[in-house]
Amino acid sequence: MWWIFYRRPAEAKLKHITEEPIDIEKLMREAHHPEAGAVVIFSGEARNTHAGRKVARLEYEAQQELAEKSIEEILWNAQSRWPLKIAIAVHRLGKVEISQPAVVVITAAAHRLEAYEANFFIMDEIKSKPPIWKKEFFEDGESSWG
Amino acid sequence: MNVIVNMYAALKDYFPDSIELSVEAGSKISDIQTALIARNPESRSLLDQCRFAANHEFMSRDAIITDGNVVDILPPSSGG
Repeated sequence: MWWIFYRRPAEAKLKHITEEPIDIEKLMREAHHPEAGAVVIFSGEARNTHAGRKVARLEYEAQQELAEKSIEEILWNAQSRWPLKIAIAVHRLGKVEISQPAVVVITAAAHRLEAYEANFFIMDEIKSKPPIWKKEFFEDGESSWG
Repeated sequence: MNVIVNMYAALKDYFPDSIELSVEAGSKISDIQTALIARNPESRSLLDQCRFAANHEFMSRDAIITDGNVVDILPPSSGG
């Protein structure tokens, strides 16, 4: 008798989306390149106020497969526009406490201008293109989608 | 034919997280939008701003749905 075992393919590992706290130091260790004289890091962190209201925490949700692909495309676009040696972007999902990073973008290039510009571009795109949504939970108990 | 429709973020204020819709063969993504507005007219404004995806690919409202499609309805992004 022959037995055929079907094994579920391993889930593709998500590089740009995580439900775990973002480890900035670990990302920074991956951001050094011998030809890069400029490394720019942006950490978008949960702020405790919004429009005059006190924010207790944030929660992020995403369509994970599309968000992953979208961030990958944004990084490719940035690398086609600026001579980057390294481009890293990670967005957090789930509950994010005040002062924790929700998104981190690191760019490394020969000189600072392209590293700054590319970092700004990537962050701007991440705010509008990947299907990721922020929900703010206020100290008065209310909540709203961003 | 049946399609699974997944809701995200603020859309979940109007609909369950995931619903199964019965649509006619040859229906378009826009027909799903119309069916949802019929179920909950207050969702119209948000649905007009949403993007759609089928089987993890972005789709236009003119795209034809096929049997067994999983359709994601994606409100305007607010990441970062």
